[in-house]
Amino acid sequence: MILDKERQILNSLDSKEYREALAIEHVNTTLAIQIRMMRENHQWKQSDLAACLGKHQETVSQWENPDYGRHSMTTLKALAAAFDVALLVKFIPFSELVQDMVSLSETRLSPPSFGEEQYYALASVPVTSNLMEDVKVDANNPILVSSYNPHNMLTTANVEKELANVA
Amino acid sequence: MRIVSLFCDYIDVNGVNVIKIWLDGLEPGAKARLNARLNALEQMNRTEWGVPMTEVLKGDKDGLIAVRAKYNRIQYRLLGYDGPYRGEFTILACGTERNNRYIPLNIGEKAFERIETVEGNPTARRRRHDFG
Repeated sequence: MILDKERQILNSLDSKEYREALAIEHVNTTLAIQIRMMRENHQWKQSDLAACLGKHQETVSQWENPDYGRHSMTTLKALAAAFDVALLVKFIPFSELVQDMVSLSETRLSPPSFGEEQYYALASVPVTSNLMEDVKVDANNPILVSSYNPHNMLTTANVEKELANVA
Repeated sequence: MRIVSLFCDYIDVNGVNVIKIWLDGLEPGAKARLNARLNALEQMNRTEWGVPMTEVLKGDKDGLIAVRAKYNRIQYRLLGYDGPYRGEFTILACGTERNNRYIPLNIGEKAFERIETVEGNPTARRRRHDFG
């Protein structure tokens, strides 16, 4: 099912100037929100994060402002290291951008750190099970396969579906 | 408990979405910034709302909330309120802010007038925000 919102955004992409601007603004907005939410989840003040990265508190305040939009790759890599999350930068088609726009969730806006992922993965393993069988690790790509997947994901898509059900 | 708000646009007496018309009149970058902001805000927990993205207004605009965005040194403001139904935030009037003054100057009065209109006939006078 395609949402009204999704359809509206897709239709608005006919203008090259607008779709370029929208792609940039979506990145600027979500980056700023992610930085603030991850910092708050760590219970850090802006000054704590600044000290961690050798920056001024005012700089962190800028990073957390969606109007800023000048985050460098170097800064983003340093932030990823500070929050112990991965940074993924890639080119995508606009259809994927729209999908990303309509499916923001708290987990996506504030991804868990590696330690939190491990905690949730282990916490979800039944106590009677064989830990090594349930927590899968690919020997060629030794990344913990996490079961961190909260069911309370709140996205526009979910909310609109719920409202449709109520109606 | 998470609380979110879906954005709605004020619809005038002729059935025209005046919010959409105002947004369409902006340069593409400014319109994209505001729509990207609205998109993110409506998927965030309301407890996460706050400056610089939103501002709870005081004084003669008490009861209104401004969605904020700065683009090319212009401070854009979308004024709205929580309603008419729970889980909805209706954008009532649009403008800019300069030196702590809103333009148009009567944007607050206009917004309050429109609240009464929306509350009087929610079906006709508000519609889900148009992200196009």
